[in-house]
Formats: sequence, C-alpha cells, structure tokens
Amino acid sequence: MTAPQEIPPRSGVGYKLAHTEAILAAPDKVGFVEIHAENFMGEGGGAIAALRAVREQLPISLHGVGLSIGADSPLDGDHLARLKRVADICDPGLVSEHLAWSTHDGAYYNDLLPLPYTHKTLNKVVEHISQVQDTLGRRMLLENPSNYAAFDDSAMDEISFIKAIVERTGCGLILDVNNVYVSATNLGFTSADYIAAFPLSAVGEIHLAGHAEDADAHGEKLLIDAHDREVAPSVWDLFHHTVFTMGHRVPTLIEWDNDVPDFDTLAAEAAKADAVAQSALNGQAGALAA
Amino acid sequence: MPSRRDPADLADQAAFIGALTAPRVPVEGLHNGRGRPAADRFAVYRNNVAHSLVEALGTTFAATKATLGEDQFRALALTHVREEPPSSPVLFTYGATLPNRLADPVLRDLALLEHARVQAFHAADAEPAGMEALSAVAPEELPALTLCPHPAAKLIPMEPAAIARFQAHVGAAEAPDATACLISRPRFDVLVTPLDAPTATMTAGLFDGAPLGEAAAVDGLDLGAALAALFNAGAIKALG
Repeated sequence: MTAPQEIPPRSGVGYKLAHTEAILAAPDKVGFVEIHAENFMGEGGGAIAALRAVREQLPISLHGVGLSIGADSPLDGDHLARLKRVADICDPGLVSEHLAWSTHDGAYYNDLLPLPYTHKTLNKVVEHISQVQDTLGRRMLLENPSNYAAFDDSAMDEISFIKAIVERTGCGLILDVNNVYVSATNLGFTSADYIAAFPLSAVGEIHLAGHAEDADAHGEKLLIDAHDREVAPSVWDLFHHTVFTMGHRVPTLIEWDNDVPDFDTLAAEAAKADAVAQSALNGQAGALAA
Repeated sequence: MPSRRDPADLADQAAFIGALTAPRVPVEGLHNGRGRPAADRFAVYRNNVAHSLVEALGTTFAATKATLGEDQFRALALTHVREEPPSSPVLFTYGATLPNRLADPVLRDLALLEHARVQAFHAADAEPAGMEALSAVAPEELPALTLCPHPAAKLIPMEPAAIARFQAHVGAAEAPDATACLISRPRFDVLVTPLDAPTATMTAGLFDGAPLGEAAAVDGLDLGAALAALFNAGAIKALG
C-alpha cells in the first residue's frame, strides 16, 4: 500500500540515495523525506526505482533547486517539464522552489543567486511562480533565501517582497529558519523581528540546516548556508520561537547535503526538531521570549 | 563595452554572471545591511559556484581525479567550469566535454568511460533480452538478424592502458586484450565489460544496426563468446 500523499506536521529529512536501505528498514523514524528534484531527472535506473520504493513507505516533498524562479529570462520549459515528470512519479505532498536564480543565457550555475527586491523583479517572480503552478496544477511553496549582502537597488524589504508574491500568486512559503538566522547575522537585523513580520499563515513547511561561520574582507562575521553539519543551538532557539509564535506545527525538514552522515544521525536531528517543537507547543516560551 | 575598470553592476544578471566567472572583475551594488558597501561578499557566490561544480565533476570523474591527483583535477575542473558551465540543472549530465581537455589519451578515455557510466545509471529502463531469445532463432535467419541495443548500453573504444587503469580503480580483473569497454545496466547496477578487438568491432557494427552476418564478419572473432558477452551484460534489448 502506498503511503498517504499528505505530509504530516512532523519532521523529515533530505533523501540521499545511499540511505535507501536504512530508510526502508525504519521509515517510521521520519515523517517524510524531501528530494532534490534534479537528482531524479534521468530516464530511469536505480535512482527513480529507489524513489518509487521509498514513496511506498513515506510521503515525499519535492524541492527544486534549478528552476531559476528569480531569473530575468523566461523559465526553461524543458526543465519545467522534467519537474512535472518527477512530480508524476512521486506524487509529492508538497512542491517547493527558491526565491533565487541560477541560470543565465542557457547556462546553469548551481547556486542560489540573489536578486534585488524591485517592482520589476517582483513581476518576473510572480510570472514564473504562476507558470509553475499552472504547469503542475497545484500550489507551490517558495523558500526565503540566505543573504550574504543586500542590493543597493532594492526598493522594498524582503518580507514586503515575499508578501506581495504570496498575495499575487497564492503560493505558500517555506520558512527556512536557518536562512533567517544566517541573513540576520550577515545583514545586522534581528531574527525574531523577521519572524514577527513574516506572513506565517502562508508557511507550509519549515527548513532547518547547519551553517558555517566565516568572515568577510572587513573581518565581519559572515555565516554561510552550508548544509554540512548539525543545526546550530541559536537556530534551534529560533525554531522554538517560530513554532511558539505560529502556535501549530508544519512539516519540518532537516537539510544536510554536504558531508552527509548516516540516516540515523539525520533521523536523530529530525527527532530533536519534533521535541523542540513539542516543547514550544507545550507553552514553554524558550530562549528568545525575553 | 565597459572599460576594464568599470565595476560590474550586480543588480544586472548578465553583469553578475560575467563577474561570477571572472575573479578579477570589480563589482558594485551590494551593502552589508548596515550602510557599508559589501562588494567583497560577492566572493561567497564565486566560491559556491566554483566549489559546487568542481565537486559535481569530481563525483562523475572519480577515477580520473584519483589518477590526476586532487590539485591537478581541481585546476582542470575549474577551467572547465569557467569555459563550459553546465547547460542544464540536471548535473549528472555535466562534463560530457571535459575529457577533451585531457591531452593524455589514456586519461581522456578513462574520463569518457566514467561520464558514460553515470549516463548509463540514469538511462531508460528496459528488460534485457536473454541468450534464449537467440536460441529460438532458426539458424538460416541468423545472418539477417539485427540486435537492438538496450537503452543503457554503450560501446566505448579505449586505449588498453585506460582500461587497465579503470579495472584497477574498481578492483576488477585485468583484461590485457581489451580495446573497448561495453557499458550496460541490465537492471540497476552499471556493468563495465572489457571487450577484445574482434568483439568490439562486431558490437560496434551491431549497435549501428548492421545485421549479424555482416557485423560478425571479423577476423579472429569467437562468435559464440562474443554474443554471450553481449547478452550476459544485458546489452541487448530485443532481436529484430
């Protein structure tokens, strides 16, 4: 019997092909798995077969990294068609992409590149999200970015930009709590203020990940959204605060994409997210309440 | 054209990309959120793009990387990323032309084999035909028979030294007479089968659509063994 499509309001992990056996042996350890769509865009073979087997046991969240929603050029129709094919294969409970761009003039740069928040870029993003939602025949979630700098050209702040996207496209949001913390540190704002202003009613999923600490050329602390380690204590605090503020849970993903540990380590992080969320819902205000 | 000293305006995506792959181009248009210009932080994107794509190439070309060594492979991959960035977000396809950058024919063939292996892993599924399908064909019909290759099957002619290097990399037995490798994926595991010269010539003919009688007209061919190698590798989808 196939697992239900709907993703439960608990924690899941990013799906790594090497973890397939471990996941199939103990699927109950996580509430769902999230896949990077581009890893399953072959014609066939072991990756897709493994995905189908996992789908029998767990709901899937489909997370694209290559659509380039924020590009000023048109979306790649071929890539959108490939995304639709992966969605048809895994019948995902959620489909999401990033507020970023990664393609230009036919080339793909494999990073989430930033865009200035202007009326012109807003119109482009709205147009692209609408195209994705029309093609897939469903609502998608858009993820807030990690920022390393801000654009002089931005005419509005990130939250105003995101709110306008939600209003105009009806899309939902991924609130990546690590991204909020990374951006707040890098740009000098307060994470809790961002959460307070964020359109939480549109949030359909939360992301958590580890970040690396670096410094810019002026010696200022610069956090990098590295996805290569455990979630930082300060990000757990912000997650607790976010769930407390929302007053309910949404599916929550542990992202760990580099230096990937074994499945049990990922599942333990997911269990920790469940415990932190539960304590927030039990009314414990947490470290950021003051 | 802007002069060499004009900084690239990062709010413009064409300029952003131009600066991304040209480390010395000055940039402008960013601040640190606290009033200070922060063009230096553009380095994060330069690093992320270069590092992630070099990593992707290193995954596909593991044996090439092991042979060249970390530093030399990195230099090669960085040049490739700069001059030929991926044309698709489906990164397992990336690097088809990287082997052309290797002057050493042994390394080039090794790299070609590695890229082809990854493509085979993601190729379309199909049930391979078994030897029994061949046994069912009347002997007088055999010369006109065509063999349709499995969608994951590919023949890679190679320098014998490249085959030896690959076999050593994966811990497989030596194949001193081999002049090509047959890549196949009957189910989910990719197989690499070294073929001797007559078998490779026959296989090339069959994969080009030549009938068996014509493809097998090769000096020194052990036809039974050659066909067994193809069918055992799951490289044939159907008989025609």
